[in-house]
Amino acid sequence: MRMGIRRRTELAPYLFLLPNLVIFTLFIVIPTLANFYLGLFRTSPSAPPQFVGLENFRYIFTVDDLFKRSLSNLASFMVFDVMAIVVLSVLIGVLLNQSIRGRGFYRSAFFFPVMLSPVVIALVWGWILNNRFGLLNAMVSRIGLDPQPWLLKPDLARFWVVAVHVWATVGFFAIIILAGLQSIPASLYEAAEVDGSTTLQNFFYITLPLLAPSIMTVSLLSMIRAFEIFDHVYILTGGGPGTATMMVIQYIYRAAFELDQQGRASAASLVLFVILLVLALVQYRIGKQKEAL
Amino acid sequence: MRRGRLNPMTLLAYAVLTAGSILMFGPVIWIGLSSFKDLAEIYQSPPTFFPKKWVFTNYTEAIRQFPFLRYLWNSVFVTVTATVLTLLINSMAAYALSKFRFPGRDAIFVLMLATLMIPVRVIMLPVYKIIAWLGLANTLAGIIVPPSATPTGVFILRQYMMTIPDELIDAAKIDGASNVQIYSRIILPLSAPALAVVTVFSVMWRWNDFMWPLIVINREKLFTLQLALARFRGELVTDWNYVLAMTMLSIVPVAVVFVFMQRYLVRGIASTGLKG
Repeated sequence: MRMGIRRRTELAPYLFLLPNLVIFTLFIVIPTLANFYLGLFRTSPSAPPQFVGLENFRYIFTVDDLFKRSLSNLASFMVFDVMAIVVLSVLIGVLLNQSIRGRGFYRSAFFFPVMLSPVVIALVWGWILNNRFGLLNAMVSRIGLDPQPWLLKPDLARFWVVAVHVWATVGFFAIIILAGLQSIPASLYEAAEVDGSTTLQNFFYITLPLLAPSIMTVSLLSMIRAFEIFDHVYILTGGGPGTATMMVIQYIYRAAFELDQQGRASAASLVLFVILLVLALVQYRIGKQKEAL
Repeated sequence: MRRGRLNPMTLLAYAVLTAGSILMFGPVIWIGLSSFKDLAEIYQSPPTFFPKKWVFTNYTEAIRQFPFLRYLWNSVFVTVTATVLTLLINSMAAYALSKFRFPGRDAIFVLMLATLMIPVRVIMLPVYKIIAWLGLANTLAGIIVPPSATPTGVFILRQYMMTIPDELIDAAKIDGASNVQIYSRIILPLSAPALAVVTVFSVMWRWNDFMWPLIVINREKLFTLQLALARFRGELVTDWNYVLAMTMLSIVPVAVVFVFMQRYLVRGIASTGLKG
């Protein structure tokens, strides 16, 4: 009897999985493995593939300054981006959690840029920051300061790339914080109020500790997102001025599709891949700890 | 709550939130207003905020002079087809993973979860090579198919389907329902909230996606709206009044989602913290 039922249903789950698995294998599993192959071999249309070992890695780390530059650009972008997102998403989350009038409107406002495409965001901010026709310089002159070429000086461009990305994504993370805040029982605040706790004390002794898991999620997710940064920057500055805002994904894109240096592109991908793997492991560990608590 | 209780903290909250809202809406509102200015006013320094003269021909000319409708069609086609494909294959996989016991199930699920953290763009070159090998380079199918099996989508749907009681399925089986009928008549309708979350994410992501179409497509006929807009920004001499009008038109579908589907997005983000 049991055997009969098993045999009849045996094939069904595999058939339901099949379409997804084919696409998943073809476009995620195989490419992930192929990346190693492409990074370790020299491929050309005329000659058979040749094993070159770590040659591509040696090249991107010791010969090509641009890869190191893009890594350090990415590192500094990431530090400021993640810090700003964590601080601002907590601030916005706490403010949006207050029982004030027009809360729905305010929530929508901060969520609005999350829905815009990177292209639209870069176009809009490109105009705002344009040194001759932009709104920002008009406002800056109005209050008596000197207009600046915001996207043409390396340090200013680095700042604005972070600022625009934070503007575009902070609403997304504020929602995660907001969900975390709403899971903190109100009774804790009521008890604290009985004990004469101030608003600031409430924030530091109740809200922040209980919000720690959400803040951790926000940090890790924003870090992973920062790693992937390409679209906003590519359109806003093109990686410039010079190479001041060129990040690793743009380096890979350039090597793979503009310069036809596939081995180097794959080697760079593998470096990024390893860093992401470490991040994922950290997140997994923290997840485990959370479960254990 | 009584309105008399306006303490300094609440006032501060209003002030910060209002300033924040202006900062969030302001830039797009300015571009929206600028899309009604004539070219001379757009290239005026210092710029104006409100149009001195409202010009509505930017929109009609943008549609007439540029193949705007073609880009729009490409974007709509990619978004709709990709979303339908994503919903279909991911819900089928989620059904198999949540309602069957079979050898290899857990291994497959763990493998999918493991790739959750790999951004597709890290493997863009090998994915493109496979696309090219299949003859899908420079086709809309090349944009649509590769990212359609989203581990996130499978995950959201599987977690939701786990909550559907097995008794319903057992009862249907006794009535002689096939697996396909169980999937289409019981599982799918009951998973509507999770399907809505996956739909909204997929629509937003596909409509807004830039990098993958940029890699796959280089024939202008196949440009999506995002590609076209990015291309126009790159060109030095451009009729910016038309580009601004097109930018605003490209936001319209997003704005519709924003107004009507926001809660699904918020629910999806709050419950999974994931995107796409």
